[in-house]
Amino acid sequence: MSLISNLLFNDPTKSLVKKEMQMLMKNHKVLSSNIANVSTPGYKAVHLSFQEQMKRAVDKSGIHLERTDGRHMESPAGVKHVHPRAIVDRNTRGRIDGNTVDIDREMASMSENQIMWNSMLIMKKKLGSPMKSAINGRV
Amino acid sequence: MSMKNISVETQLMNVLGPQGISPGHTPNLKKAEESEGVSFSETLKSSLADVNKYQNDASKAVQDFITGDNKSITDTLSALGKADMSFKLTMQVRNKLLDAYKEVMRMSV
Repeated sequence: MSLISNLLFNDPTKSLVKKEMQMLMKNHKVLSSNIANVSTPGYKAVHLSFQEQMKRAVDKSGIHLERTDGRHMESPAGVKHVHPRAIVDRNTRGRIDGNTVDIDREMASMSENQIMWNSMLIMKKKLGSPMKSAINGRV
Repeated sequence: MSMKNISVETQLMNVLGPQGISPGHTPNLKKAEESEGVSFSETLKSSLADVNKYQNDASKAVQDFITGDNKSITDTLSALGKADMSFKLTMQVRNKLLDAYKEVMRMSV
């Protein structure tokens, strides 16, 4: 890994925030498709679960192997390899046409997702702020 | 009628107590000065350690927020704010110190 990327882009917290934002984006897509299919007969609502996986990845990567060369082995459990789990809502008794989308629940999930996204944006900005002022040499 | 000893040693003994002065020695004034306050370099060093601690706290707070260990967004943002603010203060102190150094160097003797 080069000096620049080691200095600037090797912060595990920042990559965690990035991964979380990717997850939130995927979650937004899934929620949108649920809402779009609110009147599709037989559609089963899909939800993503990723917080557990993120937590496990963070807890495991406590022992972090530093990679200073491309040929070094990778850290066993990085946040980079976290995948969301899709849960298809088959068991809930939905409406008579077999649709299991609960529009109120989807809207609430979407709002929560949006709040998380906005806070992640703020956190990303604030995490980068000290490095920015260090480069500028003034506040 | 008793005569009062008005020597410096007696006066010091009144102020410092009998332990504050060893016989045959004038008290070490430099030592007294040191025990009163922490030196500048020590203050600077501990402040830098504090700034480092705030940054680590901020990283930990963000990680906890993402993993769901701490659901409070206010705590996370205030930790981030502390880290940012303290780092900016450090930057500014460094700038002022450099300015002072340059000012001294420019002074004609």
